[in-house]
Amino acid sequence: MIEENKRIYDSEIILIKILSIIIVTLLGIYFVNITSIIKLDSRVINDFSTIFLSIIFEGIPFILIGALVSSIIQILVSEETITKIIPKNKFVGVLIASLVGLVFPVCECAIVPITRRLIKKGVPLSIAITFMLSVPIMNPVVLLSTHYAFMGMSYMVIARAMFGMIGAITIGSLIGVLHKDSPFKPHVVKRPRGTPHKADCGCGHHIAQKPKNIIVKHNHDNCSCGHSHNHSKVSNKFIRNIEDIISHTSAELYDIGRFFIMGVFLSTCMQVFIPKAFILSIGGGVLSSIIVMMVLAFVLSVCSETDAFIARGFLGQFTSGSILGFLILGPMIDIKNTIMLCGSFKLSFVAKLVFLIITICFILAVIANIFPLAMLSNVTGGMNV
Amino acid sequence: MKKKVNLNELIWFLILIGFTCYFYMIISTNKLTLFVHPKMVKYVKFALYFFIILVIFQGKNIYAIKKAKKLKLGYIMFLIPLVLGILLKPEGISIDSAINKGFSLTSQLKINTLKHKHTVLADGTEVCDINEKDTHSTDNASGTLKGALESISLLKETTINMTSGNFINTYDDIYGNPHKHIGRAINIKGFIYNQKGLNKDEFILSRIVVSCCAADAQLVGILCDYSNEKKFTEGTWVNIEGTLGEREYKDFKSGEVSVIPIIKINKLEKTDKSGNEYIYN
Repeated sequence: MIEENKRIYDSEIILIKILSIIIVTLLGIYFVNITSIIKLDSRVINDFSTIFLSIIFEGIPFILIGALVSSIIQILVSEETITKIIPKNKFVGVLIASLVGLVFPVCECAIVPITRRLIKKGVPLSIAITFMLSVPIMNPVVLLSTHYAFMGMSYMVIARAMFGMIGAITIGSLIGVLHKDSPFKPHVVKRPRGTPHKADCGCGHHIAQKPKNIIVKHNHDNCSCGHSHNHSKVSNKFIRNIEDIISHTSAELYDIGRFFIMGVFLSTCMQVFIPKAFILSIGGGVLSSIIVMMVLAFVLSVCSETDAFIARGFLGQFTSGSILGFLILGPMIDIKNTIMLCGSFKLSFVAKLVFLIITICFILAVIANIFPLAMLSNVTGGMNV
Repeated sequence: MKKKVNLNELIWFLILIGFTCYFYMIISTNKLTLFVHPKMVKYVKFALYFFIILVIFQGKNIYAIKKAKKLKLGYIMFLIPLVLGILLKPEGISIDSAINKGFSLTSQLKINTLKHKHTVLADGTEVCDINEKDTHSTDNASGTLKGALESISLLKETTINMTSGNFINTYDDIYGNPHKHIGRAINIKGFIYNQKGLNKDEFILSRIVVSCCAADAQLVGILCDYSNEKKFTEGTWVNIEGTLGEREYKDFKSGEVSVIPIIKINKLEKTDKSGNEYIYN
C-alpha cells in the first residue's frame, strides 16, 4: 500500500521539484531586480505576461476540446469497438491514421489528450503516434491557412501535406518497432484486466470489487485522474453519460492543463529572454538554416493553424527546405507538447519520440532542399486546368 | 466515512470559478484582442461557456465522500495564469519585444519575387492581385468585397491613406511595385524604429502585425527619409505625410543590393498610441 502511494505521488514530487526551480528563478529575478544589478524594468514583465497569457488564451479552448473528445471516447466507445475498427494490417492502419485529420481537424494542443486516451483504449502505438503527428498537419484548417500564407506558392501546401504525412508514417512505424512495452508511467496504466465495467477509466484503481448492484460503488482514494468517481444514482443512462463525460473532462483538464501551462511558461521564458537574433545568428547555410528553423519551431510553440504566417516571414532569408522543416516539425513537437507528453508518458519513450521526430524532420527538410519543390506547383497547375 | 468538504475538489472548484471570471472579465472589457487575433475570440468564448458548465458540475463534487487525501500540487500551475492575468494590467506587447524578433527591409521584396517566379497564371493585373490577397485577410465575403473596393479606390487616388484596415494590402502593393508608386503622396501612422546600417536621416516607420496571438507579433515597416534637425527616440508614435520614392539598399549583413520603396517625409507630427494598435493579418 505504501509502495503504491509512493508511486502515485511520484509525479507530484517531480512537479514540486520543477516548481521549486521556478520559484527560485523568480526569487532570483526579483532579487536581481531590487539590487538593480541588471535593470529589469516592468516592460519585460509586461511582455512576459502578454506572451504567456496569449498562448494560454489561444490554447485553452483547444485543450478543452481535446479533453472533451477524449472523455467522449472514454465513456461511449468501448475497447471492443476500437479493436473492431482498427485494420488488421499494420501498414493500412498507419496509412489511414495519417489521413484521419482530413475529417477530424484538431490542432496540436488538443491531440495529446486524445492520443493518450486512444493508447489507453488499446490502439496500437504505431497507429496512435502516426495519428498524433499527422492530424495537426493533414488538416483542412491548417492546409488552408498555409495556402493563404503562401499565396502563389501552392507547392508549399502540397509539400507540407506530403512531407508531413511521410514523416508521420515513418515516425509512427519506427516508434512501434523501437518501443515494445507500455509507454505510460507505471501508475497510470496499472489496470485490472479481470473486471471490466462501465467506469473503467484507465486510471488504474478499479481493484476487483464485486459490484453488488448497478450502482458501482468503489473507492477511488488513490486516483490519479483527479476526480471523484461517485457514480451518480440517476437511472437515465443519457444524463449519467453526460455527467460522466463532464467529470472526466474536468479531470482531463487538470491532468493535461497543468503540463500545458508549464510548457507555455517555459516557451515564454525562451521567447522573452533569448533574442531571436541569437538563434538566427547560427547561420543561413543550407544545413544550418534547417537547424535554425527547427529550433525556432520547437521554441516558439505556435499553433499549427498559424505557424505558416510566421514561416512566411522567413521566406526571404532561408531555403524552402528549412521553411518546410519549420512547417512539419512545429505541429509535431514543441516545448509545450513535450512537457504535456512527459506528464503522462515514460521519459524514455518521450525521449525516443522526440529524437525520432527531430531526425526524420531534418532528413525530410534536407530532401526538400534537393527536391525541386516548384515542380509540385506545375502538377497542381495542370490539375487546375 | 461521512460527508465533509473535500479540499481538493473545493480548490479545483475555486480555480474553475477563477478562470470563468477572468475569461468573462477579459472578454467583456474587450481586452482580449490585445492577446489574440479577433478571429480567435469565438474560441475563447467557447472556453468561457465550457468553464461555466464545468463549474456547475464541479459544485456537486465539493461534498464528495472521501477519505482525507494529500493536496494536489498541480493546482499551483493553474494559479500562475490567474495571478498574472488579474494582477497585471494588459497593455499588449511592447515595441522592444517585436524589434527583438528581427526585421529585414528586403524580406518582403524577396517574398514578392519568389511569388512572381512561381505563379502559374502570370496575369499581372493589379486588381486581380489585390483581390487575391484580400481573400485571405478577411473571412466573410462582404468583408472581402469591401476590402477589395477599398484597395481599388486606393490605386486610383493619388494620395494613399494607410490605415489599420488596409495596411497589409497596401504594404504588399507598395513593396510589390515600388516603381509604379513613385511620386504618390502617402499618410501613415506608426512608430519609429532605428535599424543598424541606415543613413543618419533615415528611420523605419513600423507597425506590429499579429497573425494569431501576441506571441507571434512581428514588425513590418517602410523606410523613411526625414532630413530635420529634431530627432525622435525609438518607439515614438508619429503621423507622417510624405511622397513615395525608391532607393537602392544594401543589406548590411549579406551585402545584397536591391531597390526598396522609401518615403520622403514632408510633415511629421508626434501622436499618442491610442489603445490597441496591432495590425491583424
